[in-house]
Amino acid sequence: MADILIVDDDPQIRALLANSLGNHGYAIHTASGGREMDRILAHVAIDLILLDVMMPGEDGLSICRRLAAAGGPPVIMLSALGDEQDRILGLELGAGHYLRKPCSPREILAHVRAALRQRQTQAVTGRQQRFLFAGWRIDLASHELLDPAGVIVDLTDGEFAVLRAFVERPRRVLTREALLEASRGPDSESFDRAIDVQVSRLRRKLKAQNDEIIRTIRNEGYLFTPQVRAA
Amino acid sequence: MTLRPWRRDAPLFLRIFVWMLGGVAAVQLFSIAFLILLPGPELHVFTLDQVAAALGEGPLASELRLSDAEPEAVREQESLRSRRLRSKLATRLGVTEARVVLRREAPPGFLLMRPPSRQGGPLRLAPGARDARDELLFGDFVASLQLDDGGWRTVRPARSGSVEFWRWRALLWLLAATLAMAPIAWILSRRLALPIALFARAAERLGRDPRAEPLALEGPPEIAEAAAAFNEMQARLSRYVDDRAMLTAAIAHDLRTPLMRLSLRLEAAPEPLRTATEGDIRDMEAMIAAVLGFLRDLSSPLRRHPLDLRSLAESVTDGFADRGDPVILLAGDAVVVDGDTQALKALISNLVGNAVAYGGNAEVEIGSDEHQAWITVCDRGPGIPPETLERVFRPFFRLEQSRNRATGGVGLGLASARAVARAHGGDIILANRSGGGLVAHVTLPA
Repeated sequence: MADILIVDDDPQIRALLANSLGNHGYAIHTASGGREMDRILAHVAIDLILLDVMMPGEDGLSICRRLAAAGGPPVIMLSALGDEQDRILGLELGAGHYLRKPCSPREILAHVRAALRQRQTQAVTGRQQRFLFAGWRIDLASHELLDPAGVIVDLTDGEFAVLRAFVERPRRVLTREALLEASRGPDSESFDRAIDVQVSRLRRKLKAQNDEIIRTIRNEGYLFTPQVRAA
Repeated sequence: MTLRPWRRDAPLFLRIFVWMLGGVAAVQLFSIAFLILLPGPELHVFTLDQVAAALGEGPLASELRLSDAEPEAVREQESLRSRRLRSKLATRLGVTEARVVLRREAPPGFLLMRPPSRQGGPLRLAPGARDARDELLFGDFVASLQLDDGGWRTVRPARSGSVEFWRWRALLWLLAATLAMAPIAWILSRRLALPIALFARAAERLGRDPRAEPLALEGPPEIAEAAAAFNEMQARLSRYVDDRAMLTAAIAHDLRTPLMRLSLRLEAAPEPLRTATEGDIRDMEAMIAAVLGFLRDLSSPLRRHPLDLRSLAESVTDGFADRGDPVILLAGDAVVVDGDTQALKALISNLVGNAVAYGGNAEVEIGSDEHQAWITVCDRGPGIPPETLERVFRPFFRLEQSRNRATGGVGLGLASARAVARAHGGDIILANRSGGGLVAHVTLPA
């Protein structure tokens, strides 16, 4: 039984969210702002926080930064702003997930489950966010890829998910199924293109000739050849 | 220096005035020093009698030199005065004019005259001479007499060329004066140009980031005033941006919060109602996103970073292609621009979306020359009436054909796209293609 804390200044949204998630068997706590959240965190072991960004008083971004610095529970951000910069900022500040309002109860539930599942794996692996490979630099939090000259190269969510899977498991043959599974992260949007297409697009964006960076292993899958270093 | 005590706050006008005055005074001092300190050109004046005496084996004036050199042939047309002088000389010597040759250098315009030498006796004008110049020889001359034996007797001033030498020295002196002035001119220009360059840099920075550091309010009053006005403008601009951001946030919050509640309440609703209402929520959300996106593109300070435009376009066109839309990106070289990834992606996405919705297809091409990068998005649809090519960029403007279609959005796509292009220092123009269709041409500074 996971304990979830909902932090939102709108009482109706708090009640509706509590009701919706409570129906799925989670223990729900609610807070109307940062101060109330701190009081609850002092008494209850919370597993996950659903955090509204735009609140009077201390805003969600500041709370998120504070929680991440203190090694607090994982955070799903709910933002009414919802533009790309807001999302990137939220993810950079340590939110594991970012949802734009309005979103359906189903989406919220999916992210809650994913976040709780990740919490267990991340406890083991730790969270490394920036990597270097073959002169390239990738930031998993801000979804940014820089080429050796420092120029931003844009990736779609699908391409980014595949690259992330490669970077997290370099120099290992990854099957198409493993890539598909790994890249079905909670951040990735619908991901229904064949892995081969994503890999070929990724190669094009990495300006890699043939097998230079991502090698095709016949009948097995793909191998990410460069050495990956934490940056 | 005299201006030191009030140098800090002296008006720019006064500073320039003083510097200019100082410069002119320095040059004048140089010139005066030249006139006073250095000897002027020496120009001797000889009477015809002196010359005739020298040629005719009479007493030789000390400043004349005698030789037996043969005169050079007179090349140029002999002037009237030379001719008159020669004829008088011949008369005095008692020979025919043909035996006398006289060559005179034109005297310089500016002379310091010396009285004629006294050695030849007092200066007398021959009776009948029209004026003194018919009896005198100024400056350099060469007078020759052919002797009875065919040899020559030539007389010329002992020190010739002094005028020419004086001329060159004066020229060098003026050149030196100019060179001596150069540092003053340099300092003056620098002092003038420095604040202006500072302004140019500040304005450039402001264009990129309205929250840039304000200018230092130092220097002469004119500069300080201009800097104050500039900083005031920057503050207003920054407030304006803040107001926009507040407005954006308020709209986002106040419109999306009820939608969020609605969305959560739908969980309990029966299936047909839920599906239909979720569709409505998506439509409203799309409109809110369009309006907010437009406001953001109009106002937000861009996060600029060098980026690969082609990878951006690939992401957009691949997305459309994945949904089955006939969108292609023509191959070409990598194009790097300094820009905001999300804003430029939205720009390309808007243009491609329009091309697909109204033209049925899209062909995207990217390139660059030394001045700018460009993106063209073409379709083979019906195009739009020429008189609306500019109007379609107005916010909420929609052509009738799009108002009646399910594809018609809020009417902010092109306005948004143009706002992004202009925020990057570029622009978008639309044109109908020959052979049908529409082309959107985006330029961005490289």
